[in-house]
Amino acid sequence: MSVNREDIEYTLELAKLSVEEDKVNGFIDDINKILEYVDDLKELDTENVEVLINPYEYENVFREDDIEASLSIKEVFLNSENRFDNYFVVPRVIE
Amino acid sequence: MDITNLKGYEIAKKIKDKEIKAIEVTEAFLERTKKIDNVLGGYLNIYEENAREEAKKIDAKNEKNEDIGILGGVPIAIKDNIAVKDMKMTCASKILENYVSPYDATSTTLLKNSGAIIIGKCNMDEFAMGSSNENSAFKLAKNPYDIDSVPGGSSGGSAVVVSSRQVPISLGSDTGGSVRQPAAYTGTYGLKPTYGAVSRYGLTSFGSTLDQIGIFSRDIKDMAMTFNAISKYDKHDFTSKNKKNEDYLLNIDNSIKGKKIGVPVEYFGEGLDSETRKAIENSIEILKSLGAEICECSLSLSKYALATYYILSSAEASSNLARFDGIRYGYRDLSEDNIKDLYTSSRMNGFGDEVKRRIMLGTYVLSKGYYDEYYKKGLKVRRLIRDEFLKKFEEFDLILSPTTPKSAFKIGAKAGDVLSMYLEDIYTVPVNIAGIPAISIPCGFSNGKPVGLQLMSNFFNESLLFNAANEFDKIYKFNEKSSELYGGEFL
Repeated sequence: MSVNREDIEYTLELAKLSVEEDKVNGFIDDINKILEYVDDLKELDTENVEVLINPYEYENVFREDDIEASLSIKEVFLNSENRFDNYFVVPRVIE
Repeated sequence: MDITNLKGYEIAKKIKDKEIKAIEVTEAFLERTKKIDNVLGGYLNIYEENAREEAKKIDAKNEKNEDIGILGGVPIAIKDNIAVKDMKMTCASKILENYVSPYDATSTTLLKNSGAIIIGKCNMDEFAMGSSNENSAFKLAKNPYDIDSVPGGSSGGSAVVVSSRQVPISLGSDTGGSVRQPAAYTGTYGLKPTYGAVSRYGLTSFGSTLDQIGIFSRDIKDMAMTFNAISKYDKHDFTSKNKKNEDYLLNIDNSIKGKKIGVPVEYFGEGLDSETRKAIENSIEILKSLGAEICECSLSLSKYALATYYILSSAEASSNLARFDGIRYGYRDLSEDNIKDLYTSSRMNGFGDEVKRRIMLGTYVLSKGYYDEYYKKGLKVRRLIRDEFLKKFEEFDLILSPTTPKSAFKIGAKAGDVLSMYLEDIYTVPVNIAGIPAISIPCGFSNGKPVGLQLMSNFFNESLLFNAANEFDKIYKFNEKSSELYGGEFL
């Protein structure tokens, strides 16, 4: 399996990402090298193997639904320069 | 007495016994940093005034004979992907260049509650993606044993500041080897705890099912003492294990006679250089002389761990890093006037190339048509790899390997060669896939630079790692060798 320019453009679109034009081919080469390397996994028969997401399998974790303080509005906006009153300012989304 | 030569636990005791003041300790380490940090680049931000204030508070408490905590007055540095309230947390990325943490990570809270003095935030590979610290958006970090060589990564800065005696202890994070590999390269101890042993609350997520906060130290007791402080159940992280608190110093001087240690042949293949091999063989002899039973074994699936890792960690990263969109915090490209272009442009200009590469790879393996072939396959292989480890631990108490195939490489030597950089983690990655704990122990030199011995144990058996490392170094005495042979200006 190898990726071409079209695949990469589709992937970038999904990831809301872009790369400089002069670097695109380099990225395609790198990703193909990695995909070629990971293709080794196909040697393994995993037909009847269950997936394992967390290495240490947890039972359902419950806790009391206690009310706790969360960050203050002041703290929440500490890292934003794009504020109007208690709102984050973004470009118009709806025409 | 040069305070910076003292071990962390010696410092804590001397302060408690009122032999020295916490402020003298902090000043001594800050002065050393002032002399050498501009060359080594271990820190991204240093908080001198805050450190002095906190040290004075410890002294005032101690004057009144109040409890100052097990790390009372001990200076500590923290990797820049772990939140410390009111300090910057850049993750060495342009996208977070001006970000200030509004809260403390749980491990930070626990260190503060134990009396530790936080000196600063350490350099790293951007978002912990890398094995050389060369992916930092801000500056290089350099190996104290050879400033033309990398210190390893991604927790390169955390390794540098401990190795060069700017602090006795630091925190890093280990997703595929990011504590153990730089520890091996800088002659320090590096611990990757069991998944779930240390809360990840406040650690910037990279691969959420692989990440663990780890510890660097120059002394094994300092590591056990720090682990006592930070390995606690935390309700803010649902993967944090609710277990009884243990005293990890309790069994540290036990004999390791009769302990069974497995040596997997697959970790000694081509690529392992001869001096590193010799150092590991010498380590095996030392462990034998301590009464451990060493036996060859096989972990035949470990060779698939790196491929599994690059699928799973990139997939998780692509999802975790979606939060950096330029809206609520972080870099925003103000020139864009529609929302989609704002996201795309902020991320393009905010992220470095390695981060982009992994987001692309991760997005690809999760996308329609490839999910089963890559991501799901990776999750299945993960079970096979973990189960193979669990089976070995029915037979062995510990598994032993080199931490890395070679010692530190020259800065720039692997630039542009993605796979060769990824292969740096070949011996460390299986541990993260399995979720078990492992430690890197300084055990020798190759090319005049340190190499590490990796010991792995079963889930939540960090105690045995500390014990074995402690007994090993009673014979090997790394610090003596290191200062005799390489006692240069940075060590």
